[in-house]
Amino acid sequence: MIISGILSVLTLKVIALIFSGTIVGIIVGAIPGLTVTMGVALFLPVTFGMSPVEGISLLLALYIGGTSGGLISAILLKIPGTPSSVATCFDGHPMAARGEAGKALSIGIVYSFLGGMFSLLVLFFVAPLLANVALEFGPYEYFSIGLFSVTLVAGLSGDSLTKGMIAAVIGLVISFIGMAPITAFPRFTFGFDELNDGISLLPALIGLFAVSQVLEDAEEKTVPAFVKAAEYKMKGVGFSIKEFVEQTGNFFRSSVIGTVIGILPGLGGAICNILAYGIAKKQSKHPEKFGTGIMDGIVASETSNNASTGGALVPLMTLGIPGDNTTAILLGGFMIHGISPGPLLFDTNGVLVYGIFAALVICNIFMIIAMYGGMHYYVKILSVPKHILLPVIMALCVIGAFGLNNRVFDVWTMLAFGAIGWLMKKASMQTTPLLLGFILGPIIEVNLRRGLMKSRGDLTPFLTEPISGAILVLTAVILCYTAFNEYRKYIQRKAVMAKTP
Amino acid sequence: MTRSKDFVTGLITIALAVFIFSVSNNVKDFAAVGVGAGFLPRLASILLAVLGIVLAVEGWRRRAPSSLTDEPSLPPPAETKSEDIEVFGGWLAVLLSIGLMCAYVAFLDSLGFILTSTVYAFCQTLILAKNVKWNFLQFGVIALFFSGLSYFLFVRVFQVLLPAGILG
Repeated sequence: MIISGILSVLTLKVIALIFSGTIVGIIVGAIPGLTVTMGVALFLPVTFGMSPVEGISLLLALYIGGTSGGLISAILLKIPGTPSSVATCFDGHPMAARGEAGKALSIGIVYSFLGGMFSLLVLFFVAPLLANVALEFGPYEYFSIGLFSVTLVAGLSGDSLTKGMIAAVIGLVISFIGMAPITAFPRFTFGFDELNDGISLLPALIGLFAVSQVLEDAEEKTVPAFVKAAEYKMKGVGFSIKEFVEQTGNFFRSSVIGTVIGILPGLGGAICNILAYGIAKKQSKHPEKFGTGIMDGIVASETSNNASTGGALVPLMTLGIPGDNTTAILLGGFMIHGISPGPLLFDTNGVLVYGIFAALVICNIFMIIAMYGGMHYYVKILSVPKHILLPVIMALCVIGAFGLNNRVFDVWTMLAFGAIGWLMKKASMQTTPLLLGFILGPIIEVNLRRGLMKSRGDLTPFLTEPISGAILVLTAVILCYTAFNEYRKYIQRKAVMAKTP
Repeated sequence: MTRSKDFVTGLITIALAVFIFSVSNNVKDFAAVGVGAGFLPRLASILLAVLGIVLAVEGWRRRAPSSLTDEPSLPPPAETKSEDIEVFGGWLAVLLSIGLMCAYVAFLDSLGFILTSTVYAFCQTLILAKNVKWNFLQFGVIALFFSGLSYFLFVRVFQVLLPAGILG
C-alpha cells in the first residue's frame, strides 16, 4: 500500500502539477493581500477534471508553496505576504536593511523546508495511530470533539471570546440551512429549492476569503507613497554551520510549537509564527537583540509556520476536522473528489493517503528548489499592482463558485459570504470561528442526536464516556481560562484608564 | 469608535437571534427520542441573544480603543518617502464594488462569462486604481485578455462549464 501510494505520485503529470503548484503557491503567498487560503480556493475548480491524487497533490503544492512564499515580501518589503509570516518581518527586514537580505531569505527558505519536513514526520507516524484510535469513536466522542474545536477557535483565535463565540454560533446557524439531518425537515430555506441541500462549502469559502479581500481593498482610503523592495544577493546557503548548530534548540522548539498548533483544529500558521517568535525571544539569552535583525527571529517564525502545515493535516485526515483555514479548503477538495476524510480513509483509501504523504515530501523539496531558483522572478511579480490583480482574481472566484454545480445561485452565495466576511472584519470579528462552526455544525448536530437516540434521551453518557467526558472538561477549562484572561485584561484596562487624567 | 462599533454589533446580534428564534419555531421536531430538528436552532438563537447582550454591554462600557483585528498589527511598509496619500475609498467604494459584483452575477448567465467579466474587471480596476493615472485602454485590454484567457483555459483545458451567453 505504501509503495503503491508513493508510485501513484511519481508520474510525470503529478510531478509537473506539484512543481507548477508550488511555484504558483509561492507567488500567491508572496503577494501581500493574497492569502494561501484564497490561492487554494481559486485553484479548486482547476482540479475538477483531475484524478484525486492529481487534484489533491496540486492543492497541497499550493498550500506548501503559499505558506513559504510569505517570507519574500516580509523580508524585502517589510509587509508579510501571508499572516503566517508576520513575525518574519520583525527580524527579516532589519537584516535585509543592513545589506544581508540574501542571508535572511536563505535562512527563511531553509528553515521553512526543515520545519515542513519535521511536521511531515509527525504526520506520518501520528496520523495512522490517531486514525486507529478514532475508529473507536462514537457519537459522544465526535460531538465532544466538534464542540471542543469550535470553542477552541472561538476562544483563542482572536482577542474577544464573545465575538469569537458569536462568529462560531453564526457559522453553526448557517450550517442548519437545508434539510435537517435524520428527519429531513427543511430549515431556513425560505422557499428556495436551491437551499434544500444547504449552503455549499466552496462558494462560502471563496466569498469569505477572496471576495471580502476585494472589498477591503476597495475601502482603503490611504496608500503608502512609495514602497521599494530591499536589494538582495543570494550566495549559497547564506549562513555557516556554526550558526546552524546554534539554532538547533530554537528550531526544534519552533517545530513542536508549529506542529501542535497546526494539529489543534482551526488554529494555524497565523498564530504559531507569532507564538514561536515570542517564546524564542523569552527563552533567548539576548532578548534585546530580537527585532534588530538576528537569525533566531527568522528561524522561529518560518520554522513554526511551515511546521503547522503537516500538523494541520493530522486532524483533517484522521477526523475530517480542518486544522486551519486552508485545510478547510482542502476538505472541500477531498469532498469534490468523492473522498471523505476521517479514520476510515486509511482503510478505504490507503493508497491515496500514502500518495499524499509522498506528495508532501516532494512539495517541500520543490519548494526549496523553486524558492532559490526563482527568487528573481518572484520579486518582479511583487510589482504587479493590486488594481490589476484583484479584478482578475474576482473573475477566477466566479469560475470557482459557478463551476462546482453550474449554478448562478452559488455565485450569489459567494457574494453574500464576501459581504459577510467584510462586515465581520469591520466589526473586528474573526472569520475562522464562523468557518469552523459552519463545517462542524453538521458533525455536532448529527452526533448529538445520534448520541441521544442511543442513550434514549439521556445526556449523561456524553460526560461519563471517558474520552468524551475528558474532551468536554477540557472544553470547559478553555472557556473558563479564556473568560478569566479577558476579565483580567478588562480590570487592567480599567486601572490604566483610572490613572489617566 | 470601538465602543459604538461593538455596541452596534451587539444590537445586530440580538436582532439576528430574535429572527432565528422566530423562524426556528416553525421547524417540526419529529423526535420520538432525544432532540428534534428545531432544538439546536432554538438553542443557538438563545445563545446568540445572550452573547449579543454581553457584547452590547461590553461595547457600551469600553472606552479605550481596542486592537481587535483578524491579523496581528503589521509593521509599516519599508522606505516610505513621504506620508501616506489619501485616495478614493470608504463606504462609497465598497458599495460601488458590491453593486458591480451584483450586476456581474445578474448578467452572467444571459450575457456570458467573457462579456460580463471584461466589463466587471474594467470597472472594478477603476475603483481599485488608487493613486494611479487611469489608462482606459490598458485597463480594457487587460480585462478582455484575462477574461478570454480564463474562459479558454477553464472551458477548453480544465473542462469546467461556464456560461457562453450571447457569444455562445
